[in-house]
Amino acid sequence: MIIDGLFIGLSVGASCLASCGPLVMSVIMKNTPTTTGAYAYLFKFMSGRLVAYFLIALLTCLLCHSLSLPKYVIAITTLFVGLMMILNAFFKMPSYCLNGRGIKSFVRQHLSWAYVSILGFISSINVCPPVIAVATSSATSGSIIDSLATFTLFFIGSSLYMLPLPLISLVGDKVALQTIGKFASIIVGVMFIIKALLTF
Amino acid sequence: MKNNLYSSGSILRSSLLTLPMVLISLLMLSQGLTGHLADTIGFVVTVAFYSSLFFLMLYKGAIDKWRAIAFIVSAVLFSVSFMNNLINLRGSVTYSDEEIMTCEIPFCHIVTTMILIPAAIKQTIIFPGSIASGFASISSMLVIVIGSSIILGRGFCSWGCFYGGWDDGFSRVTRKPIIKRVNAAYRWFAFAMFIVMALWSAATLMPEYCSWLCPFKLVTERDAIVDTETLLKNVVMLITFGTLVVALPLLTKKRIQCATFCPMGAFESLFNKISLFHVVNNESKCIKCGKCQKSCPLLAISKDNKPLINCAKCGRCVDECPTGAMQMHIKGTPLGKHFTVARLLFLYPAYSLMITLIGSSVANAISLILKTFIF
Repeated sequence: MIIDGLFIGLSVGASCLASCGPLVMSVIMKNTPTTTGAYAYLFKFMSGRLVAYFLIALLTCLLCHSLSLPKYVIAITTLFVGLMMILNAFFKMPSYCLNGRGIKSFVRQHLSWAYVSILGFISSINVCPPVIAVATSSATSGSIIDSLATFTLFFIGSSLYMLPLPLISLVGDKVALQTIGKFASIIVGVMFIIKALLTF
Repeated sequence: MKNNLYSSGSILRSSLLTLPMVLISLLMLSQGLTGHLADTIGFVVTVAFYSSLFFLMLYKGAIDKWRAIAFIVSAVLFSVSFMNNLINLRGSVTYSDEEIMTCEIPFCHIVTTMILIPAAIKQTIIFPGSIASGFASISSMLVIVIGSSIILGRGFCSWGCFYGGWDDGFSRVTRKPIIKRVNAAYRWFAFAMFIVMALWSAATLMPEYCSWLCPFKLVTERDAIVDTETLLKNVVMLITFGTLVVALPLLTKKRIQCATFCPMGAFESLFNKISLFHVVNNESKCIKCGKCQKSCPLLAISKDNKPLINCAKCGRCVDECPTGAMQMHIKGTPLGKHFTVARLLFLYPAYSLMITLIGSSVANAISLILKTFIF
């Protein structure tokens, strides 16, 4: 049933929060001083996550069985996430420049969106147990629309747990927050790189 | 005016004010006396040790020096007692999968940071220890740690932690720091560690900091080496202990492990927001000499000489301040008044915490040493 996606999302959302939380928190703390900006970063991350889920939904429906990625693909994506987090620690995301023109300005305007969305996409394409549970449900649904709907509901259910994360930006000392974000990015990046190397 | 305590220089006042602490020591440490001469000597020596140091704090009007002696000796003797207990219980200071499966691992306060999210969201305790019974049970430790943190804030890290004495001790070995400048931004690394470890542990349902990074497993209990993973964990433990607890404190004269790495320190810092006691800089007296900032072992004083959220209330800045501008303050009371009383009022719960948490281990270790070498 399609509604199973929502229930699975609600029941395993805490695990999703724990898995993706360090990534989202690090990016938010490092890059933005405002709550609005923090929610913008969360939604950028979520958009990447949603695209990854749609991709998994399509594949599971077309293959008619749950996905199991080869070990080296998991290792490479994990390594990629690790490297992206290290980059996040040492480089400042460009802020929007609404009056700018030309390619440079276009790149500046869209780089942070693309960067955080790609981070969300790659970290979600690593099929974790909750996703496998939804994929199993969606593989038996029979149609692409049902499969996409199941994953959309799973996304909604599990994303609810992420909504309080940007509130970290309410902390008064912005310099401290950015420094913590930078260090958290390094710790998370190193953890993902070690995890990737152990997976190889 | 210096921050001398109300009792400074007066033997009578200091003795009278020490009496409650003697009674607390007697009450807390008399549990478990067996009648064996070594146990009795251990008990008497421990009560005398803690009481005399408390008296010296009051009489001399300086706290950090005497606190440090109590703190360092407590940490070392706690390890002796703890490791001996483990050898008696299971024959070794290492733990294997069997002890983990049977939930026989004593609970350590640092794990608090990692069990909170799973406990709140999944109603699961992710630590392989006993909930309510046995040696260092989870519930008793949680009540003591969280309760004391609400009252003392991060004061727990300078008065109640059984490990803090190790890097405090190494940070006092050299007379002058070899590395003179430590980037103060590293104080925030502990907060990053806290956030990441709390979430990562919730994701894996394992206390990951304890499994992989904690240096203090070397002086308590560690993984038995049975495969590559446990070998790696032991190597990481040796590296973190060697660098963060021994080498860097020796070189910088700062408590580097506590200041920059321990997730519990960051967690405790949050309690500073609600704790009654806090250290303040009375700007009307401050001459901006920067002595407080240089002397702070936890990098907890800003460039403009203001104590930050990670202050562990060890009392060193208050002792070092030449004009008495750094003061212990009770929230809600007028600034600059009754600060010596505030310091005295802080001392009682803080020192009682040390005696309650570590005192019996100290008595036990002294008794053990006597039994081994004399009786």
